[in-house]
Amino acid sequence: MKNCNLCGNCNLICPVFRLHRKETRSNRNKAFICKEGTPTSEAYSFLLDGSIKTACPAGIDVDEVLIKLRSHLILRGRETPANKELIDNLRRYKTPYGKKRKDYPGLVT
Amino acid sequence: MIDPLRAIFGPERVTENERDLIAYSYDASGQKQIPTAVVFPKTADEIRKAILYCNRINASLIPRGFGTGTTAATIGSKAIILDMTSMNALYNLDKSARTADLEPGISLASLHSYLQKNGLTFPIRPYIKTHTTLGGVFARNDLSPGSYRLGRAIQHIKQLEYLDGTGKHYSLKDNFDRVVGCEGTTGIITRIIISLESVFTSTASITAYTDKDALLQAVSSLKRRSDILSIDYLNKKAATAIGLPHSHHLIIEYYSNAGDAREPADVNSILQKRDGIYDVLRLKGYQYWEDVSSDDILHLITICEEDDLPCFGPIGLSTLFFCYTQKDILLRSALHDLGLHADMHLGSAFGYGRTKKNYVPHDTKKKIIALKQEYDYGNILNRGALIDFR
Repeated sequence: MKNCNLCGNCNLICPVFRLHRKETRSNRNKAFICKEGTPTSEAYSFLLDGSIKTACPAGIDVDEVLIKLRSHLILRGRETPANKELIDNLRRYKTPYGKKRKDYPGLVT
Repeated sequence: MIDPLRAIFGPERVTENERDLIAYSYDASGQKQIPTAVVFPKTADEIRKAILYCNRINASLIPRGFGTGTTAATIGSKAIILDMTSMNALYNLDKSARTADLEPGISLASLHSYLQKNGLTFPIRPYIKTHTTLGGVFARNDLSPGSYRLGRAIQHIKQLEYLDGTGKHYSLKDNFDRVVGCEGTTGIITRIIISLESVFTSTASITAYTDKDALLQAVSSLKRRSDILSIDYLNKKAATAIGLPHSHHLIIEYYSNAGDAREPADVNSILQKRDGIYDVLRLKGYQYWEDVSSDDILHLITICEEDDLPCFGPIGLSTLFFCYTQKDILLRSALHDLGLHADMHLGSAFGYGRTKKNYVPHDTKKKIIALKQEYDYGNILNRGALIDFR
């Protein structure tokens, strides 16, 4: 992340930024959080859509860094309750929603 | 503070949420300053009301586009950030008059792609390719390769509307320098009619020089020609980075048929080297850029050679861009020191903002102070950028 200078090129194709036109939760905001490096629940506020790596002129894979930040949170038992529930649901029901797949007739798998 | 702002903008377009304030505390300068609130105007009248409110409570109002500037011009602690990106309408494109009537929050990239579909072009394409708004282009008075012949951003305005620091509305047909290039310290642009060019064909050449004197002689003889659109320089290190031989190079774009490359594909291939150098150097870890101007261009070239830095830029405009990695921090600060004493000028291309305000030329400072005294006596607009006022 040292090579990221927050140039903002990643916001050019950021789906969140294009929709809301707000810096918050945009690709660059994600890069900023990763650059700060402090594992907080903020790490769960961003998409992991890969667009940031495509647009980054320095080729930085910020999503990879964010995944590591999330891992730190889980190891320290500081993940968000929502994430914990989602993971439990995936393990138990194979869906993130807390019900078995067969109970979701429209679910694309 | 938040309630009066909510009354102006509505609850959805005002925030003092900590997450939002942090997201608006940085730009591409490496600085961090947390504002008090962020507002998202949609009309000039909302901006006018915000200016009046800031005058009442003595708060600074900082206009901001995509926040991609490198000089901390769009961040400020205890300030209200005016996120202009929702004011992005294109009111009218007049193909026959070659003009476009726009709001300043429009993205430059979308404007370019829209104009291209209509056979027109806006000739300002900043060197350091960032995601920028049209407002940012005029706030810094950006330059691009074609500026050698076609001028900087200010040369492409037909009409401009702005609000001063007292909330008064102006519509200008000349004297655009009252607000353009002042980085939001003297007025907030609310609407612009820009002049456009038809898409034109050019020819191009790329020439290598082993000797600096021969290079400078070539530049001075090229400057005497009338068919030159741009003259760009690459030093040995920059040339090598893009796969050219280890020599000084000039990339020249001509209006006429004088270029060695005349077929569109060949011309593009040369111009892509010039336009792609930013991407190549970023991938190699060069993440800081200094815009340095001097009449003594040989001195600039020598500095880069001695410091083993890549540099490139519009030598025809006596400006070069020095490129630094994170390890070059001492070299960069040495350049900053040199810029204060030597016959060179930093900040003329990428702006001065807060980080380069020591380099604002005396005449510019004087002009901005005079404008502030007349139009923003309360120092509401972008307080702390460019000058220290009151």
